[in-house]
Amino acid sequence: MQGNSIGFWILAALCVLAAVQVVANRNPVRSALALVGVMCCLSVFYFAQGAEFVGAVQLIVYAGAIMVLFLFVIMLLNLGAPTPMMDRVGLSKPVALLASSALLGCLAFAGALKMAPGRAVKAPLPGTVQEIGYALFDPGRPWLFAFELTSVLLLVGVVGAVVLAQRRSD
Amino acid sequence: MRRDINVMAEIAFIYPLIALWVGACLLLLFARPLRRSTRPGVSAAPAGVALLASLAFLVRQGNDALNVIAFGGSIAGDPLTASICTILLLCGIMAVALAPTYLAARGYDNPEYYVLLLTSLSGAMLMSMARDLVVVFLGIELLSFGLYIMTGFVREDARGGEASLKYFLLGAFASALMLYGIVLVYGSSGSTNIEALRSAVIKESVQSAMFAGGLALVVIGLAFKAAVAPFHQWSPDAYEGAPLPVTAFMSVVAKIAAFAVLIRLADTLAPLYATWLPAVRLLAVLSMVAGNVIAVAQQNIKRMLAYSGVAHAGYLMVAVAALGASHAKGAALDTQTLAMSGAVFYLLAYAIMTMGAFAVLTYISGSGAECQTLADLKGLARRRPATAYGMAALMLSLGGVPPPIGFMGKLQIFWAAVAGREMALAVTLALVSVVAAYYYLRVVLTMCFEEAGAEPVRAGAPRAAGWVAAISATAVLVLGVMPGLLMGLIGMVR
Repeated sequence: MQGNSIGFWILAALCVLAAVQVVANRNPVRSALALVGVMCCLSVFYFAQGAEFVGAVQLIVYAGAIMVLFLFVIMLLNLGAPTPMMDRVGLSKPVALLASSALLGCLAFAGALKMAPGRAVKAPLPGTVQEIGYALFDPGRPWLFAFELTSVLLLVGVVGAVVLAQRRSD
Repeated sequence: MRRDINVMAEIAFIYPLIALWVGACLLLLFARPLRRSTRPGVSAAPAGVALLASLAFLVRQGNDALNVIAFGGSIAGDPLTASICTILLLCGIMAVALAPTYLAARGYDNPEYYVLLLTSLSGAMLMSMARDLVVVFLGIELLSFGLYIMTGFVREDARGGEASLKYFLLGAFASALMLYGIVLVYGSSGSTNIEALRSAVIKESVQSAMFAGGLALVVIGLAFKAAVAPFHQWSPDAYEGAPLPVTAFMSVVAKIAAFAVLIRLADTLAPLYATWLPAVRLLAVLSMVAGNVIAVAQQNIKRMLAYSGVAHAGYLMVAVAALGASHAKGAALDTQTLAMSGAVFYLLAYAIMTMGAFAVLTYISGSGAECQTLADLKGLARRRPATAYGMAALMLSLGGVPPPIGFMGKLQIFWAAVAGREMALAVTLALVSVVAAYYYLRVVLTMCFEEAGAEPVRAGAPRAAGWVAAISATAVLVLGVMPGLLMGLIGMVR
């Protein structure tokens, strides 16, 4: 107990320090790296709370998200190296078509078989992927709707980024 | 099998939302051909259809939607939700009508604008449906993302970009505070469901400071969205910098949605009145006084309407306080109904008159620069008598001068405050109304009695905006004289 709380306070101090660096540092790359530090501290908190899955996801997703952030900055500043590359890849359209129709097929198949998410047969172990899955996708619980809502939110975010980044059409 | 049917009924409840989302996705899917077309309103029409479809679903649900609990209690339908959603959709239709000509004149009549408008509106509707703080938060974000981007939609306009960035930074800060509040509420009570919070409050299992602090942060987040003083700092700059159709949409929709949640919180968490009633009173007085006094000094009509919006938020806070007070003082159910229907009536009145005022500004701006200042309106009564009289009706309504609807709305809130024995608030409301009448009448006087410069009638007056202005001006007059026509909608509340 005592050791736990000492660990918590040390980590909390580190976390806040890194968070301050995110805002205070003048170098954008350094503040982004400080943000990675914050995320790492948070994931340790999750591990300490016994939520191993959330902790791992925190690491993986945020490391990924940070990379996306970098890419967005490059895109918004119009450093624009990727554009000619995109044009040369003629395969992208058929691949996109194939992938999206495969997804549509899967969804239609699931819909036809009425593979609706059911309730947990037995109580899953706490902190595991299974437990989170049942909590998130059980239609009887409030989280499914909120989870689906975030997809609309992400769509709006993408549309907004494109709107702000693109040049005037005419 | 029975379970499937249940799920379908729950999904049927959100058909109005799904109609908006499908409309948004179709607009995105056909964005390229729509962009190439030069016909005006080609992107606005599908958005209008989506809004009408959504309204049709809402009307068709009728009484079925009045006691639905869907998705594990995260959203639900009741009379408040139904009337707020109807008002929001009407605002959406008006906002879509205002946009095409204005944006086309600036080369920005893109389908993306309407995508953002539809999703933003769906966020506002979600806030009125939400029974879970997590959904409230997602609704606010969905509403705000669209607003941030629409504010800076005309990118050549530096002030628009500045307004967008300011709104975004302050809005993100308010959202973060609210999220932290939700976390504190959850940490102290173990739930984010508003009904569950109510029973926890009644059982007095969560009277901790942590819970009260969390709730305060949630209210601050909502007060920010509703532009309640002292959390209104963003609104004058955002209103002024945003394109006129966006200002119209943002001023009305964000306020209605935020107040829908505030009214619900005040109603559901009424047993906690001792904690928050003083704060609500303070916010109401600050908003009414600050909004009206600062509005007097404004020469820019957009800024004036922003501060008047702060004042209107203050009047609505009086209704929220009256609602809480009537619970607190054990008043009859009538008093609570009075406060709630008064608030909804005022929201509707505010929506019509504000939308109408911005529609007039859009109309007379034509395809030229925005008419923003009082000087732009000089001599309007001579140049365009019909438009000027319409604007005069809307200004009188906003100022609460009888006979238009604004007066009836204020009267209802005044009664609710008196019935809830919130005398100080009622007196403040009456006093600041005099100040409000002054600066709205000044607009009327400028239009009628000041000589115009050599300014000709602007070319390319958008016809749709003219219709919106005409309909709102007629509505404020007709509904002001015969408010009974609205009772069908408002009477449903409770």
